Amino acid sequence: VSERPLRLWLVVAGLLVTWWSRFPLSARGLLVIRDRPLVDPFFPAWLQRFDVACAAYLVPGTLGVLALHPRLRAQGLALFALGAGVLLVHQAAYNDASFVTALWTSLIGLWLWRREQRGGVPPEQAAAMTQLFVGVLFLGGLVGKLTPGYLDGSVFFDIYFRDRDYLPFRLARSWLEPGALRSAATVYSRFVLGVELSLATLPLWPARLGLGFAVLGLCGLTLLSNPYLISVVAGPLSLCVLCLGALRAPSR
Amino acid sequence: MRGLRQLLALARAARTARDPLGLGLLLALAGYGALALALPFWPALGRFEMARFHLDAKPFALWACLQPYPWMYNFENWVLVSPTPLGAVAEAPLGSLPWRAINHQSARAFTWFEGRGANLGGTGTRYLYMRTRYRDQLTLRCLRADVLDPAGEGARPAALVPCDEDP
Repeated sequence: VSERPLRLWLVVAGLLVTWWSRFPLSARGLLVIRDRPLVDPFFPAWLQRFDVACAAYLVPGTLGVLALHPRLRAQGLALFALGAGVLLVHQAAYNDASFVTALWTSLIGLWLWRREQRGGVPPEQAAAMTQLFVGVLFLGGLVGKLTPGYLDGSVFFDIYFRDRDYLPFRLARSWLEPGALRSAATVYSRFVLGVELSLATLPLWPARLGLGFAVLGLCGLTLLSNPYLISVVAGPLSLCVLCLGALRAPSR
Repeated sequence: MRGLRQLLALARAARTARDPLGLGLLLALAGYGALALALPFWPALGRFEMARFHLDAKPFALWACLQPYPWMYNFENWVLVSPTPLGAVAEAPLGSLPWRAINHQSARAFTWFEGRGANLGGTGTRYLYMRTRYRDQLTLRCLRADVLDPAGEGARPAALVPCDEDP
């Protein structure tokens, strides 16, 4: 067990980054949802309500700050888990992948907190849980892409390279001829698949090497894609950094 | 394989040290991982997961259970929004209609705020065609939104129904 307590505030900070980096989108989104309600037989009525979406987004986004204080950490993390869980099945937010990673991050944060209260968690075990989480995260992404449109790059070409206004793709359009741009999309797609394959095997890696690679992969994919991914990677990234710190600390 | 040994040590510790949250997390992550590995080999699972993106996976509880599964950028997804019904889009070649590629959760073209802002303004009926492909499986669905003066006097919310159902 590590001599130093785990820096669980990192997990809270990661979750706050997820919530706050969504804010410009979510605040505007909540107003649109209020003004244009949609009745849909698929979702239960309470999961179509504007006030439920508001509470699930705004309560953890504000009161969650209290979890930076050690005494309120468990309550704050539970609030994030509840908010992410509701938003993940709410008609207005179910499609936001940020809440998939936020849900897992807050639950793993709660688990780490609980183990700390009961005498501490060996850093290797905290790392193993984090590696499993990041591994499954990328395994799901990888397997869903094992289809011709991703293998030949046409999906990424249509989604990003053709006209999306994010920096890497704007640069690619200004530097490359149309034919080369299409080839670049193929290389990009296969590179993403390669990185996801490597990250999917993370549970098999030694802890430090695996977590270091996960940090690199999470940051790299965000830089090479779009800034909105920050809200998706902030949670897993915070867990990786926490575990790397714990592995470096002297043990007792 | 050192990582795997640590994972097994964690599982043993969670089982013996009365750590239900740890054990639950391990089992849930292992379960979702197993589902991911099964996806290319289990056509029924593929159909269900694609239907999930079209809000056509029932019961709702099962759809909800699959929401924590990492579904980001899964499958090849296209959407097409039209003010008129398009008839048999399944038979039409992909390039013959203005399909738009979308990364995941195709029905968000109507449900998410960006989709509502772009596609559900004003009044009238809008059709959302969704086309999702995974390997040799193709799923199509059409949803219709009847927008009835959402901001006006006696405002009524827009109603979302499958295209083949009565309003």
